[in-house]
Amino acid sequence: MNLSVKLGSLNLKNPVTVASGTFGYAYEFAGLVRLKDLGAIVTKTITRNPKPGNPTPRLAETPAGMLNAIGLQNEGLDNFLEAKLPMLKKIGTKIIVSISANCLDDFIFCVKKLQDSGVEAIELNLSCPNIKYTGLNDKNKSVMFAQDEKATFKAVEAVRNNFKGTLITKLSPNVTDIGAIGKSAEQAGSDALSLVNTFTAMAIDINTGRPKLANITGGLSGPAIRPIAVRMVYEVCRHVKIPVIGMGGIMNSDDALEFMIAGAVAVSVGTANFVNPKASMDIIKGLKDYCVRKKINDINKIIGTVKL
Amino acid sequence: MIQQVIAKIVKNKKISPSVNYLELEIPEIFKTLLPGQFLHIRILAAVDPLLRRPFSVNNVIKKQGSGCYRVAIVYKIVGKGTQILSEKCRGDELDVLGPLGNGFDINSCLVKKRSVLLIGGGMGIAPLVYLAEKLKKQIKQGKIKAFIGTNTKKEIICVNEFKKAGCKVMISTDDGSAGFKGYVTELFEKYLSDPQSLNHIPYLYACGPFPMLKKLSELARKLKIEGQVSVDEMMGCGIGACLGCVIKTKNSQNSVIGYKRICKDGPVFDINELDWGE
Repeated sequence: MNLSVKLGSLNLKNPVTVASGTFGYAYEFAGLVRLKDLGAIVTKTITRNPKPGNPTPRLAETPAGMLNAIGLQNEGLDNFLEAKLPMLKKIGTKIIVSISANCLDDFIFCVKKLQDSGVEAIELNLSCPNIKYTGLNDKNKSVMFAQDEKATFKAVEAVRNNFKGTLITKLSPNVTDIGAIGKSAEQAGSDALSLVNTFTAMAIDINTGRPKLANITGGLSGPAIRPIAVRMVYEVCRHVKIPVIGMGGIMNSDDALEFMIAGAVAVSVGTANFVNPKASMDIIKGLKDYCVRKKINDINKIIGTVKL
Repeated sequence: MIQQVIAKIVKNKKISPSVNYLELEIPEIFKTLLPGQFLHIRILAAVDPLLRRPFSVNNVIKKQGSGCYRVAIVYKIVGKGTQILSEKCRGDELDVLGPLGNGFDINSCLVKKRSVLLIGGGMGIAPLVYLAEKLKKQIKQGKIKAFIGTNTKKEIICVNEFKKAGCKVMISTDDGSAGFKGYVTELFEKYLSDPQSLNHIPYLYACGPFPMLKKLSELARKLKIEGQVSVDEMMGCGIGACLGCVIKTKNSQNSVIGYKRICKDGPVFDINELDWGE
């Protein structure tokens, strides 16, 4: 049975990846998960310079979901290249490095260095809801790249011109027409898309009257968002020809299959890693079992087969 | 090494109006548990409540005649997760991740004829029992003092357990319904004001609410007392990956250096290491 899938020129041994920010730099899960069995590992987002992250509290639980406002805390590109990338390369699966920046120069700086370090694939995080981008648009307003077709195009184009490997663009669900943004990333040369990032959301402690997060708002993830994410993956797949990595509240293989039938070539497990560290392993097994049960010899045969 | 295991509930009983005592049968791997470490427990195999809940270890009990270890947890019913947990029965199973966190360093207090002072506030009392148990093998009977404080008499927990571990127990309640009337930090200050109490250099181990630990760290700084504090925060993964449960730390020059992860770098920190804010 074939479980392998392709994201542009990147071959994954199976469609199951772990979502950026929910799996650290993988070594945190080393004793709990057979890391090399994963289709790919998407790292926590790194930035050119270290970022301290947002004030606390950074997490809140909501019905079937959670809010986070970590604020891309990371130790910066140089630390990543020295301390983390060598360990990741030894794992024996595909490594997708997630990067973010608030200006094009920093994006270009990062991808050049990553390319020189032998990184095969990059995920452009244009959609973190917890940091503000400035200096991109003419009017100096702060905007999320992935909320603007032109900004998305410019960022993807700038990176594309400086990176030969597989380029994945991560989209935000906090938009009116996600298909149009996906199309924009495709036209600018992205090899694949990943969606969705978290939904901007808010929770309030009724006893104190204060927001539950110090950042006031945060990103909602978990099963609560899954049906919206499935709809968005379905919509984007109708707009673009490049492969899509689907995610949003995937807890088990049934959830993963839903995204694949909607059109996703691969899936990412996110919040589920916190709830059940072995979720990704269970999902790989569940996909195999499904193929056996349905007498399917190639997992690619189910992608985008939703019957309308 | 961190394990994800299924643990059977042996006991789950009320010990005060809103506090339960939980005993779990756990494979032998958990005999390596250190005081101050915690377990991250999935209470339901469902999506609501979604996240695991972190629980400090109250004690580790070796079952006579078998290699089986039971882990005791004392928890307060504060919300949906702990409410559901309180309804679980003997024989029910829980998905447990652990042992997690660094735990208390018990060697620090053993040097230079120190007197060991445990200070617990509210549910922060619970994890100090296991610490006392570990310390009793190395410290003379009566040399460990446990200061425990709660809002009111009904909430006092673990007194007998501390006594069994050879501790002298001093109690405070905010409303004066038992022991000293006032905060446990005030009781502790009063103790320190007796010159005899400083015959041996005190070493502190504390766990409790943020304002209590902040006050203790101010006292420790003023009196040049060393010690460790265990802090509590809402957690995501519990294994250091999500960076959800961080706390600001300082260097020896007292300037803020950045966030550390409570679940992985803590929950126990040097009493002078944390930035308590304004």
